[in-house]
Amino acid sequence: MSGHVEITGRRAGTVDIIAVKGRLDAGSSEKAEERINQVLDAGGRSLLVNLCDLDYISSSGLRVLLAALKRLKKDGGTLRIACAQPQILEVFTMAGFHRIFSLFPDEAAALAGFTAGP
Amino acid sequence: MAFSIIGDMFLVLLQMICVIMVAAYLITRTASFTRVLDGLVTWKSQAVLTLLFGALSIYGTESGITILGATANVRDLGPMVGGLACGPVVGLGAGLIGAAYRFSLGGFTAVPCATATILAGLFGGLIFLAAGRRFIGMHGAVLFAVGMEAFHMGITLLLCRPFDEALEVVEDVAFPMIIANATGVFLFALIIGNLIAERQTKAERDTYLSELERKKAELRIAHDIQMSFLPDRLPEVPGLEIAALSLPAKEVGGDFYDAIPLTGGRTAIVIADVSGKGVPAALFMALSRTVLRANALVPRSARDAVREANSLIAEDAKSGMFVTLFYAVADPANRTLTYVNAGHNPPLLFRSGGGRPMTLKGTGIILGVMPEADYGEETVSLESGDLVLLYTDGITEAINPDEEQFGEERLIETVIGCLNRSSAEIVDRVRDAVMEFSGDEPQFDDLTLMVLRVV
Repeated sequence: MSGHVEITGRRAGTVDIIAVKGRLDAGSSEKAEERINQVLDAGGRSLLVNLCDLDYISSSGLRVLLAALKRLKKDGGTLRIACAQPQILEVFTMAGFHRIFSLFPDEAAALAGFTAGP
Repeated sequence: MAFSIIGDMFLVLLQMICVIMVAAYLITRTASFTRVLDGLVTWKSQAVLTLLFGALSIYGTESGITILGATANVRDLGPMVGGLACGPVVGLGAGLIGAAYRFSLGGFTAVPCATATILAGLFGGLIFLAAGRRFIGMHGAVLFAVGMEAFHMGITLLLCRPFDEALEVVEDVAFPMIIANATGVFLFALIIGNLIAERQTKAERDTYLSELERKKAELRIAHDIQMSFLPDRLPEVPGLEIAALSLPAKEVGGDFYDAIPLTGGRTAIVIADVSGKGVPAALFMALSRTVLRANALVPRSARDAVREANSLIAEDAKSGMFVTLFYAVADPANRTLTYVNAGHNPPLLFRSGGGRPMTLKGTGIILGVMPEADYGEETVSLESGDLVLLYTDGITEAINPDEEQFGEERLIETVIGCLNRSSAEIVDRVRDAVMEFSGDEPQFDDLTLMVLRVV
């Protein structure tokens, strides 16, 4: 069973940062979804998802990110994605996700964007 | 002599403990008792329990151990446990029975003994109420028994005259009575505690099993929905030889394929993958398929059909559900294939002349995400003998026990190895290759593939 994912969370000011490492696939995306929902349930409105060490994303991983984006948009929040690797970007591009997600080359750039407003 | 008295006493005590254990086991196993544990108190069950604990109280009087002329007894045990475990009605009732029997025997301690037995049941019942209509547990119950017997001695001293005689009796029996009753309550509490734990485990297991049953039923329903929305048989398509296969995973995704005859001998070819699992994904698949079919039948371009379907699906997409879709219109008269790829794994076009396949890449965003999204369309020309392989990510992302993915490269090799076979055979070969590769690894996602051969 695949599903090797490591999810860590921290805060930088008002921004919740969730780093997803490993593989985000059918076996592991539920875990990621729970973690993200925890942050959003706690009232988090600025979410930064760090994908620096994400090796692989499947359609169920995309669904988790999309669900978070939809939820935040509805509540007037912001979701940013930092540092997606080329193979992840390829999946994003194939799905057309690069058109609906705010993608940043690294965490610092994404954070700077938050302070400047959405 | 002294040894034999202690030996006899020990035997009588042992016998008493055995009787109490058997009584405790039998009483706690009655339907009336378990009903009370469940909080269902009826007059009938209270009456049954009152009689049982009352009988135990009578036994307590009868089985008394005579120590140096004074009798220590466990008359209070039945009413105490009855009250503690079943409430004041049972406690008081059992106390009255035990007290009446004791009173009928007479003697100068009759009044305080009978009174103490009634109060034992009543106090036990009040503790039951104070604990929130529950048995308070072993420690509390034993402490209560010790306290109750001390109180029993107290009222004996208070009510019996002459005081000197009363004091003598109390001095002799106080310690054995406190020990005997506390032991009896301890045994009862042990068995009741066991019973409660046992029932709790059973309740948890029942919940778990019914949850499992519910989940299984949900998966079966999802599977049925999904299968009912796959074509039983693909239509005869002029100029094309089509074969397809969909193997739903256990937790069911929402793959589907379709071939829809259009006007002018054209055919719409569909392969799609709905995100998510279970009934929601299956229903979303049903919705998407129906919307696509309806839009395919309206005479218009492929991109307009997909754009319209997307805007309808996006309105209904909750909680991040989406569909990856490859939609193509095959036109055998003009030998063209016009396609829209909405975020689906690029199908592979193998030319009859051989060589690496061409990938039919994305022309727009996945369905259900952006209601106002626009889609591009591409047209490729088809030659006789060309072969198009459409598949979902369940094929390329199938993993083997080493957690390697089947991948696009293995898929291409497999198809190239049987390119001159019929569409149906190629479908079987790919399925076999994926199955062989996966080995014992469970199938995670639906496996769906479709092969089009230009005749």
